[in-house]
Amino acid sequence: MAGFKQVQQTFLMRKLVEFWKNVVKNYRGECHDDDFFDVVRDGVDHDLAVELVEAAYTGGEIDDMEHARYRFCRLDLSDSLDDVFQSLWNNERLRGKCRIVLETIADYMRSGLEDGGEDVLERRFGEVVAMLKLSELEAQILLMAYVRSQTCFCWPCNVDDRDKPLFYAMALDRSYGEVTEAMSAKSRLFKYNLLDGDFDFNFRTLGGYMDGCVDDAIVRRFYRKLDLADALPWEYYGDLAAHDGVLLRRLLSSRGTKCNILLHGAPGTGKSSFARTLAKELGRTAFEVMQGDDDGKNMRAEARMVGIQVCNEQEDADDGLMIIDEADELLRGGSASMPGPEFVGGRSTEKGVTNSLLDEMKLPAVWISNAPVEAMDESVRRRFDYSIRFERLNGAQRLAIWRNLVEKHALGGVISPAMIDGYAAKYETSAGGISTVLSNVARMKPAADEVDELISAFMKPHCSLMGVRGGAEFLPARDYSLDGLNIKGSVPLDMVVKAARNFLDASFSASAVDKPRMNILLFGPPGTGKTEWVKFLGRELDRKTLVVKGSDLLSKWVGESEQNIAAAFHRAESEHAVLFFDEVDGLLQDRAGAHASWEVTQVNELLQQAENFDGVMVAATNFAQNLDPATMRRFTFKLEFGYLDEAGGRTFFERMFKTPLADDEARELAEIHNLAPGDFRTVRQSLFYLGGDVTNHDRVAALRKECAMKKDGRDPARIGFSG
Amino acid sequence: MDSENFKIEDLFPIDEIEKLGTSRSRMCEVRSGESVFEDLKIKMVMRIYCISRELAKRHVARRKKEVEAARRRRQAEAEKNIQQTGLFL
Repeated sequence: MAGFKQVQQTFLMRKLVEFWKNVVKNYRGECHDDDFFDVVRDGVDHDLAVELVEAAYTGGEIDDMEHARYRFCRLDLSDSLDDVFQSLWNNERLRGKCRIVLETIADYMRSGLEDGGEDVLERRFGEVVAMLKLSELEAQILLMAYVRSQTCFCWPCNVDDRDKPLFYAMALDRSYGEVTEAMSAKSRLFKYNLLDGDFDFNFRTLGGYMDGCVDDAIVRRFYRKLDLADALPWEYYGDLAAHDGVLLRRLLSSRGTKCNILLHGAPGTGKSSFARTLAKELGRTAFEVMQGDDDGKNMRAEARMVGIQVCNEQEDADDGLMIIDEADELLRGGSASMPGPEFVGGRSTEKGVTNSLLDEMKLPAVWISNAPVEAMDESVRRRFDYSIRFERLNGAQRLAIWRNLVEKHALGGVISPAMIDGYAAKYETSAGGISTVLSNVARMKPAADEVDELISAFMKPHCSLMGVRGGAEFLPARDYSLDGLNIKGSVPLDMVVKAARNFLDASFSASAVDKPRMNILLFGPPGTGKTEWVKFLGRELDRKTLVVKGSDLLSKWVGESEQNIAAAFHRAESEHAVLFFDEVDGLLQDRAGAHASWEVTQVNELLQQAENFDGVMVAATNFAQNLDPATMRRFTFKLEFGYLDEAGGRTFFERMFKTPLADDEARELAEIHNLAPGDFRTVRQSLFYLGGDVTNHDRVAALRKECAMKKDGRDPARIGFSG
Repeated sequence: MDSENFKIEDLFPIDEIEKLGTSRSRMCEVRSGESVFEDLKIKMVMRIYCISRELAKRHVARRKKEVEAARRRRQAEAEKNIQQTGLFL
């Protein structure tokens, strides 16, 4: 059409003209922003617009306006059209004429946009409206917001956020009341984050899709259907499937069940994998709410929240199961220290939005979180119908995963069942770690004689990276013996070992009225052989030893230390392992000196767990005097490991250095106080490479120096200038 | 229809109005031979002054002549100014 600047996006421009014409029709005030008339300036030729003005106004009126006293209203038809129309509009007496001229121009522009053919925006807008089930008015508001964001559309004056609904009402030619209601915090426009807090189009939600830059189906942006073909079999979850799983299966087997399930616990403990298996077991279609956008960037919590709502609306509640992985941020309520998702321009609390979303779920949903549950508000937590805390994988679970993945990667020909057993016991890593290592090994197509080396080469750095145990077995030295140890206890060490063996013998305790617990406390100075004895005990009982240090259990989150303690006992029980708390003084401090409630609760938790533990528990400390007095009676055996006596010293010397001691050397050794088994090991290691040049005299001298370093040695190393 | 109806007296002298008649008939459809722009322009004038299409067309034609005349007059004045200015140079 002559005089009209053609644009490509016909639908967008048609809507621009339509909304702008409505503002022209409904706005009664002065125009303070000539940008409002950019639509005319950019849409029609100057001469055509002036021709309309000259037809509408009389010669006298134009003459008067050209000589207006105030520059604000002074007309100059040769000016840019935005200036021309601002002058015409601000002549209040003749504003009616100006309005009709502008409406005529809008009609003229509109007539050139009738036949646009298929328009991407129009089609996608229709899809969004249908998918999100927007009302006609909500759809128009969304479109108006989009038009504002994409075109030269401007309001005729400064519009505060609170006045925006009024101007939206003008642009849509609707009543203020109905527009205000449609733009309320509870409307779908905010629920789905289609508009931001300033009532503007939210590009984070639909940007790129509306204008056709992204071609995926709209639902693909929010969630996807999961392929459950490689989900682990139900039986692989052992106790979990037998207890929680059975309950969940019953809960979710009825159709139309609204149910929120929380899976929480440390990363890599198989939560996501369990969720998939659960969906497969229930025969439900699993939908995963997207975590990243097409560029691989993490989606903001608000966009994921939209995904959840879209999935909830779109999918069949009788057939689907929604899986929301990495839901930590979504489930955390808003607080200063733990920022949560930003919703609805701050008109509603974040916690409230999370809660209402949980309440509105129609589709059963599995929420997966790595964060401690304490980070969630109590009101959020109580909305879950069921929750499972995932502990670190135990040996049986790791074995099942190894077996499954070896089969999946077709490595059964080169990895024998015995090797699988060994790997599962040796590498205490997550399912994800095992999967990564095996997929890398499988990619290298290893021969049978190199596969063990390759697995070890991949597993060791992985374990090191993840800070988990791998490779180092908790076994005593080959030449370990109880001979020579200085134990101050009522029962000899070998008897304690025998007692522990009897404890584990089911036939021994079958006839007992009450099965006493087997909790052993080892205390004494460092290096006196406590840890080595626990290794020995594990070997004698043919049990794996689960070593837990106080520092492994203490958490910055209130309540999580207690959960870690409970988890350690649970794990030891499920793996039938000897549970060894090393440096337990950090966990069992005297409650009388506690400054905070959590210091008391963690002692309580450990004592209570120890009371009910059905296994061998050993605790070791260097500072028995710091322990809570109540702990002492919880231990069946209390063994004090002291420094070696004269005979013990000689025994250790001859065993560790494999050389007999002459009498004078023995006397020299006996003069050393505070000699501990650990000192012999240290000296042996330090002298190892010196070979035949080392005499017993050198060894004794080295032991003396070692003991002199100790704090309570009688011959402390002198520091300073005093003689 | 806009509430502000502008007076027909603004468009035509009284005697001419009497001659033309003041029937304010309803707007007519687009006539063949007129461009969309011309049609809209005539409708615009009909709407502003609440007049018949015939009157509006006449007004538009008349106004066009007036504008052309005014433009020529302004151009002539401008040229004259330039010539006078040149005399002093």
